[in-house]
Amino acid sequence: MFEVEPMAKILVLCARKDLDAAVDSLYEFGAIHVTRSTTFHAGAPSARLEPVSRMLVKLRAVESALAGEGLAAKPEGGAGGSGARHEHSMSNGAAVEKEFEALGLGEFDAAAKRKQELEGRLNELRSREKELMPFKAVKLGVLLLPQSLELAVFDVVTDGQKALGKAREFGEAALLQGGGRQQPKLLVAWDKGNAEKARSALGRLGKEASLPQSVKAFDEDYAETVEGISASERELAQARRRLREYSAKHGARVAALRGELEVLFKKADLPAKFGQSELSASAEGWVERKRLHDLEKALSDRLDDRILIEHMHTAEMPPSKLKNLAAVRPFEFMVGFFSLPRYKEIDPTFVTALTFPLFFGMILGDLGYGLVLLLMGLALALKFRKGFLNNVGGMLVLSAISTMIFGWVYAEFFGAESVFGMVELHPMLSRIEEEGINALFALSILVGFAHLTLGFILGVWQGFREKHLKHAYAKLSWIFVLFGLTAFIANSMNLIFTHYLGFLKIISPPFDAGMFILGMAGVAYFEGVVQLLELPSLVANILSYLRIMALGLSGVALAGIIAGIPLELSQLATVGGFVSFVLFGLLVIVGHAVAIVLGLIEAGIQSLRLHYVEFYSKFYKGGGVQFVTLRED
Amino acid sequence: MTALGAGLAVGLAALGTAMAQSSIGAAGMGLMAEKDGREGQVLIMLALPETIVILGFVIAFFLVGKIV
Repeated sequence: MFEVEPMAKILVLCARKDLDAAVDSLYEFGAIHVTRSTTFHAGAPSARLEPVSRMLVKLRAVESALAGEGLAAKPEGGAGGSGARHEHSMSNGAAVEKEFEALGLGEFDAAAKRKQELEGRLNELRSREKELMPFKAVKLGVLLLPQSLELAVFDVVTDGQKALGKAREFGEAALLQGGGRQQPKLLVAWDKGNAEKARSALGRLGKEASLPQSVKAFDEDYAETVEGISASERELAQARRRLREYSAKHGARVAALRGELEVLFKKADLPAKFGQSELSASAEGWVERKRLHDLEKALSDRLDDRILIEHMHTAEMPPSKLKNLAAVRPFEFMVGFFSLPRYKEIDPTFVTALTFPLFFGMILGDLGYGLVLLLMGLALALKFRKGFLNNVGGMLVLSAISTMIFGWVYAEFFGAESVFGMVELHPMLSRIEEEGINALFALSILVGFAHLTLGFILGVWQGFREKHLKHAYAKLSWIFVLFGLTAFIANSMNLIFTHYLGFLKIISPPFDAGMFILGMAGVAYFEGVVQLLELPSLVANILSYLRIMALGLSGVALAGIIAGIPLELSQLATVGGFVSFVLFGLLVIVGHAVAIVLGLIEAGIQSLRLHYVEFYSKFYKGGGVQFVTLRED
Repeated sequence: MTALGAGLAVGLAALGTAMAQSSIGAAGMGLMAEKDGREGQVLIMLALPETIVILGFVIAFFLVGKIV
């Protein structure tokens, strides 16, 4: 619960000729964290790495191309069928190559290449069509004009008819519609002698554009372009059909073989971490102590007495694998997000699983919102059986239960003090009355005090576990400082929350001051005088827990506003009332949805922040290395 | 005047927090873009200045208590 999985470092020795069998066995066992071997010389990847890598790259490209056409295939599970996955050993490279050849990738390559060429051609033709569209009715071409004449085209920005009239002063002119959103164009054929004068005059009415380059008349060129587009589209459809046929025939097998090659790639790369000599090979790694016997059995089943496994004694820090109850496991993600515990460090997951939902519930505290979050959490946890979303679902379920409990305490149901106006709720602590707010203020301080005390206690325990006694006594000193200071405040000051800290009055004066001074002396002795400057940080840490109250109040205010929207069944009696009922109803639903999302984000992030900054800093450093197995399953 | 003080306590504290977090956030995004797995540290750094606004809220709360 508070410890990570005990690990053992092992050394595996075998003959070079048995390397492939050793790799297969290790991979089949899977639950080993392989490290770089320091025995013998540095190893090299298997000779199979290059062909496997080549096949893998090719299959990934094929899958990507098929996915681009919306033809992604998934490998089918089970023993039969072309999409079933098989596990290949290091020794059957020829079988893999044969399967690869059987995919007929030449056929795919031809279809994909043709499709790519046609797509490029279509893009060019469409661009050309757009360029020629204004000129589609013009039976002229640049090269078909008499030598004395010159063609020019202008994008008309002012009155088209005025521009046309002006252009006709210099030669033949026509106003062409651009088509779509294009501006109209003014096409002018003028005498080359008038070119400068014409340009100057027409330049004030429009901007000169470039003429499409063509050896034919524009209308002919346009017609050919359109014909070219149709033909290319027909051929492209054929190329796509060939790809669809390929996908239907081989798609599942491509996906399955890609998965098999990824495994084979890992196996082929594994010898790079081995140590190798001319005749021998060695592998080192970490294995859970409870699975050591399973590993020995797996290796000896395959290799009999041709393999030797030794337990290594090392000062190296083992990787960390968290070990928690199923209900608590979703919170491992939260700890990992901060940093994994080092091997001998206390795993804070269990404590986090208790306190995170507590803070979450104290902040959000609403029966209705808690119910919605509970349903969301259950849906996530049931839909996603593993992974990040399953963790989120698990955390959300526990947090939602806490939210509902505090919703009962605060008597809040979607911001109202009754359940749909039918059942009245009676608050034990009202967040809308002064007395309740003061009590919440004190409760937040108390929770902070307790949480920090717990952090220091864990710090003391950590110190004793690691036999760093100075560290343990320093944390104990901080506990004295915390209790002494809080008792002093409870005894001597009449603040809002001191009434609720009455239990600390058992530390009566002058013992409260004495405890504080003793604690400070302890901190100075065990951690150094400079650490006394951390006292304001300690006070700030406690006050930081007031965010529980502050965020809670802002949530109450928002929920209260939404709950105040007039929505009653009696409105359905009239047509106008029906319309207002529907509109207000939508407003209420959207409003509460926004409040739930904001509450979820704020309560989640702030609870997390209280753990990471205030709590973990008292006892936890992290820096552990993740235990990464050869196989995920 | 007390009400003004309460408002200033929260407002100015929030302003200070916002100024701090804007710099930290921008630097944090840069760090995350360059190095994987630093999200936890960035979140902590970003959350640190929030204590300033909470302390401002505490002062305002005490002041408001006096008004009421």
